Amino acid sequence: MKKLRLATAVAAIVFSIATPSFAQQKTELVFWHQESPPNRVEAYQKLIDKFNAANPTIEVRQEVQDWGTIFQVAPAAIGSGTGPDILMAMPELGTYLRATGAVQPVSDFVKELDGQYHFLAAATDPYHDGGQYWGVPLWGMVQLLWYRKSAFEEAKITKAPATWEEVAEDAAKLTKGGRYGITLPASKTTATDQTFFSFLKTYKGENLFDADGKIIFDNPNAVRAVTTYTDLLKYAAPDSTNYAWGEPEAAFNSGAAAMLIDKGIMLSIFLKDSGAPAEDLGCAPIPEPAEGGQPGSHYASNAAMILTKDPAKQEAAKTFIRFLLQPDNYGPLLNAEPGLFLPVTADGFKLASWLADPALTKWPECTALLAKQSESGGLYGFTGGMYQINIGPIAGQNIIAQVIQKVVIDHASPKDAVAWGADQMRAAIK
Amino acid sequence: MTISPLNALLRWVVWAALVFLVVGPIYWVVSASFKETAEIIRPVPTLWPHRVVFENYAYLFTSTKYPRYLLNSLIVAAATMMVTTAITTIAGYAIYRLRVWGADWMSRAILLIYLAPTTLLLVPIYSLLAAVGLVNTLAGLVIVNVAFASPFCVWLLRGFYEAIPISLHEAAEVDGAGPMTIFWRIYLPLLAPGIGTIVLYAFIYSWTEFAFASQLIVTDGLKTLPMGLGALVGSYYINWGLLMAGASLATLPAVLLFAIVGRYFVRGLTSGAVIG
Repeated sequence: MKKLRLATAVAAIVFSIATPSFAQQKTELVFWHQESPPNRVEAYQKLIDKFNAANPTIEVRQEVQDWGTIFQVAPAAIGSGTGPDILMAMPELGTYLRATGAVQPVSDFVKELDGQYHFLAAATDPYHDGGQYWGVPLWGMVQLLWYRKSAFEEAKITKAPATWEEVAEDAAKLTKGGRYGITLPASKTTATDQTFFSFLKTYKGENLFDADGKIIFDNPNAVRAVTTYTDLLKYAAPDSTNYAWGEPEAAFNSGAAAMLIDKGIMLSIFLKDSGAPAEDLGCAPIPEPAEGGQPGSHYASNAAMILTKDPAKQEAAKTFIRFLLQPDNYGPLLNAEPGLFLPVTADGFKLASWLADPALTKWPECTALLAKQSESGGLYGFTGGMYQINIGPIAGQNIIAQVIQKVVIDHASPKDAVAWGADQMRAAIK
Repeated sequence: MTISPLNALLRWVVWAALVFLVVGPIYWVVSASFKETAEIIRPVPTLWPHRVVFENYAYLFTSTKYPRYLLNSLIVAAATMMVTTAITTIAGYAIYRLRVWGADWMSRAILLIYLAPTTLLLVPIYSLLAAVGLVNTLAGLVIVNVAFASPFCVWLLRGFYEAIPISLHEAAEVDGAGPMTIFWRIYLPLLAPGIGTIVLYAFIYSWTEFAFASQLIVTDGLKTLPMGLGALVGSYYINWGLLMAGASLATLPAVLLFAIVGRYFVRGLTSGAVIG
């Protein structure tokens, strides 16, 4: 009995000493994203510092990864126990990560946030599969047609093209004196995949799969889209087959090309890189074919995926995501790269903290257009409410871009190139 | 021997063309690092900056983790260089001079590692390092770099070892010197050019290694320069001035080392090629 009393006393002392340290113990969260430009890292760090200061029991740390290697690095890191607790993913990457078994369902959490901020369906659908949501969308990206107004004036073109036929006509007029009518990527990269997908979408060729998961890429609409894209490349720089992200923007900003299909990042970079006045930048919706088309653009939402199985960390991760979506913080998060990152909630488009950025106030009509274009956006593998887990290998091998290269480099006909691409897709998902 | 004027002119033309090919891109990168982005991307490139700006370098050091990446690269490259030099000089001694058991077989098999494409080895090496807790550590990266740099360095030392007269070795043995004394007192001083060659090779190998670093390192604070430069490229946009400043500085340590021991490197490669 004496021993028991002694043990109880010792336990009580130990507990009383240990309790304060338990109370101070922090839940550490490792947050991975692939937005490596310093301005974006800095913007995230400011938000993280603000969060950490407001939440003394949670410590968030950002680790910047590379889009070029994330498909290999993330599964390997998860497998070896060095993976993150939260990872920002695009839908294609999400399908890869889910195969590791680490991605946690967040359906109730998405419903809670949806009730508060009203997510766009285009943003949440690519993360919905098997009756569960697997990620919380934080921002979206969509493409527009950008053009240099001074070049248009010089070529006596009075309005932005609304159809692909008008784009070709204008590109022909604009191509002169060392300037190309348009700049388009044609390398085996995501840049080509995404730019060409805007064409596919407007030609109603966006469904790579049918409802049963079979490849249906070899269809007349895809052939028409490839024909238009490769025809326009005749008015682009001859080294377009090396253009990825960076080169089309440089060609456009330098004045070497008069039109560009690109994301809203133009609002961030145009003034500094071009040296031209703001009035020289024009924007228009992604054109459509004159007949039988539909509005559309490549649209990808980026979502925070919770990868930790630790309930305390999961709760901390949700606290962090809630914090990012709060009106005061959501604007600064999106303006880590103004124009590139767009709200994924209906409420977000009205946010003063987002709209106040100087890059957006200079081109209010383009900002509004980006919001409008988001409504008709889509992403390969996730169109028409589908969730194709097999899109990963197709996107990873840039098969869509290879179809364009088949025409431009190997001089195959668009019809043969599309048939070849469909075969490659079937082989990739076997 | 006199050279005809035509011959001399031809030599100058070839020399100038070679200099242009080698120095041209380096000059372009360095000069672009002092230009504003609008000038860098101009369709007709400018030969020198119209307005010299230092903002790319300032931005590099104040807004990125470039100094950290630089330090990590220096640590990994220096460690790789030292470990590789220590291992390969002794390995070369054992294989080419002491003729240990299996020396002939080893001298032939040592380069077999280069037959396998690096990408094929990524997964097994990752698994191996993960099993011993060396993923996401600079030590793991050093081990991999040493493993890949060493075979070539051992092979390279063959010419240097065989150029040292065996009579020196035998005379030292007659005087009662043991194998390690002979190595320290006879071979090591005479191997200086060979060691200079492998020092440079191991350093540059590690300095430019990307494939394994990009897979093994996931923490920002442990990234090396090639990964850091990749991060400067970014998604959807390239800040050309920042990239050029990063690339210019990244070449500096390798250029300095080459300036110090570069002549040994050329001699070393030639020596290895002829005798090997």
